[in-house]
Amino acid sequence: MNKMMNIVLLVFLAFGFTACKTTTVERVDTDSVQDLSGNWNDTDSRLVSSRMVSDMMSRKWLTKYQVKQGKNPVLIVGSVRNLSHEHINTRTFIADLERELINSGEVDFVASRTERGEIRSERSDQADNASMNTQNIAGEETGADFMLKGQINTIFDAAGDTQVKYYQIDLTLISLKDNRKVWLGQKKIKKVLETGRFR
Amino acid sequence: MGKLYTVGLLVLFLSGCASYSNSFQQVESLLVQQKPQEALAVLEKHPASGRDRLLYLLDKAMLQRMSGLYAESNTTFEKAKKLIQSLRATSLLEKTGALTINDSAMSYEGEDFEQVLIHVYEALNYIALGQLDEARVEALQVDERLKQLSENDTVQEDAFSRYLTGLIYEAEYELDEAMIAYRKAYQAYKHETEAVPMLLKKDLLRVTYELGLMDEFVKYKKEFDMDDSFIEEAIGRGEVVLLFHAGLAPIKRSTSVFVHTDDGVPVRISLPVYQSRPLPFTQARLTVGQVSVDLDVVDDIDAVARASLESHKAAMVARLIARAIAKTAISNQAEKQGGELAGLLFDVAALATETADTRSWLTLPKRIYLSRLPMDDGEYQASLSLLGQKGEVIQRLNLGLIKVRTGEKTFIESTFIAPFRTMQ
Repeated sequence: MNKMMNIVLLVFLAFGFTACKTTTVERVDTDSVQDLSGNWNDTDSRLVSSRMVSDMMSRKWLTKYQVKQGKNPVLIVGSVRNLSHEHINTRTFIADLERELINSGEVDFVASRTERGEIRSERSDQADNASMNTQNIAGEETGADFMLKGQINTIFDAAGDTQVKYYQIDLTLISLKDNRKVWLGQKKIKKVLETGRFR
Repeated sequence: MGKLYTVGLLVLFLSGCASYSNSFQQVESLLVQQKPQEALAVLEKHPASGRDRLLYLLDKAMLQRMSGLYAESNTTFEKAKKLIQSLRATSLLEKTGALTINDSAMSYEGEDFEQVLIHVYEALNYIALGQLDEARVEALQVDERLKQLSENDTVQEDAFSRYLTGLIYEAEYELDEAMIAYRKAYQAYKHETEAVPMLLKKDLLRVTYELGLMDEFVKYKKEFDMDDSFIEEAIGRGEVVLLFHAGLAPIKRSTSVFVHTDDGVPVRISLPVYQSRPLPFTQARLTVGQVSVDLDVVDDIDAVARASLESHKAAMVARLIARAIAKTAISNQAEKQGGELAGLLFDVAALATETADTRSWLTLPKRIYLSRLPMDDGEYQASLSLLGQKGEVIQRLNLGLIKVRTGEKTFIESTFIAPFRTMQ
């Protein structure tokens, strides 16, 4: 009897270890910070873009330009190169940057190189098919005054169970007229990760 | 008695799985027929979870890239990387299983060289997708991984991955970074095989020349005893870079040997040994337009795998003997408590479960060949000829029309898995 009990107990134990794991879903605010793996995530992208843009908007180049030219500068976002250790989705980062910039109301924005292609083909299609008074004609695009370029770099260090990740994001605003750099922005993020020894 | 049941149950839980390399035959036979898509479909029908999951992911990613699904392949490789990361923590249950049953009770974490090759193939996928910056991310990860591995001093370097990272940096016009990688590759090749690929020698000369490192240039020139007229030919032109993955990596088989413990008691242990899979050709030649060049072997995975197994053989034997002793002790205990029959049963169980861990990444090629050919701007027909021992052409692979642009690298890849008889 004792033996039987032993076996039965063990079987129950085995089930107890494997069985119950159900999926749970919890909705969270998109502004909440959730660090799971320690990799670059949405919070980093958002924080960096908003800080960078507010820094850019508070610097002298902007007022200088507005006073001299009497209009808002026109910007375009070039490439943000990922030179880091991680596969970072730079497209969401660029989208975050664009949003922050447009919403600041201080600058005008033109479509990027890839977007322009689609717009142009639509315009040439309009020339053929749209009625005269609704047509947008070619050759009236706004040229950008400045291009925003950047890169993401990382320094990574690990010893034992501890890892340190250091991100440096550099953005440069370059005048298309004369290649002058009018603004340099830099933001750093440092993360310390501890990994478990057992699973 | 309760202890016995626990062990019995563990045996049931952990042993009842055929080894991964045995169930791989169907996939392999489709691969030698050059049907990677069908092989992928077969593999996906039996997704492995649990301890063999990493192998499944690696093989799947490899078959995906052979089928031209580069982006999907990278998604799978990323999953594999995450899994390896989580496996780095120790599981006590698995450790117990490995101590008492066999090594297959442990989750497969991949050999060191296999883990590095994940980055290599992911980088190649990104190159095929035209995303050089992302390939560069993988290059940095190779660097990071090798740094970690050198801390546990099992592996010092990995020659080919260093060489490839150099190539990627060069394609990104970062000559100084490329130079560092080429230097490391050079050291690693010298350390691994003594045979430094001719291509790397040329690269070392050319890049030191371009960077103006004249002392180093002179040193290499003396060391290699080479004519340097090729440098002027290469600088400022376009380049065709061909990577050719040939054959399949060696397969692990289990062999049993009797060894004596320190007390002189003979015990039977099972060791994994590599069995090579042959290649039908001895040389490969790339033809682009009117120009032909022989390929260099840049990664002999067959040899690397054997060296890797050899390097941790001693530790493995020690562990296997310890396990054999533990198993004997358990069966003696059983005989004492449950009579002769119980003892015999445990002996049988011990023998039956004592199999070597024969898991390995089977879809890796046997060798990776490389060729770099400076070309002028234009479009060329490219093909690859596989030559037999007497220089006769065994097979010709058409690589299609390729475009070369001045100052840029055109990467092309080809895979060839030859038909051969699988030995049981």
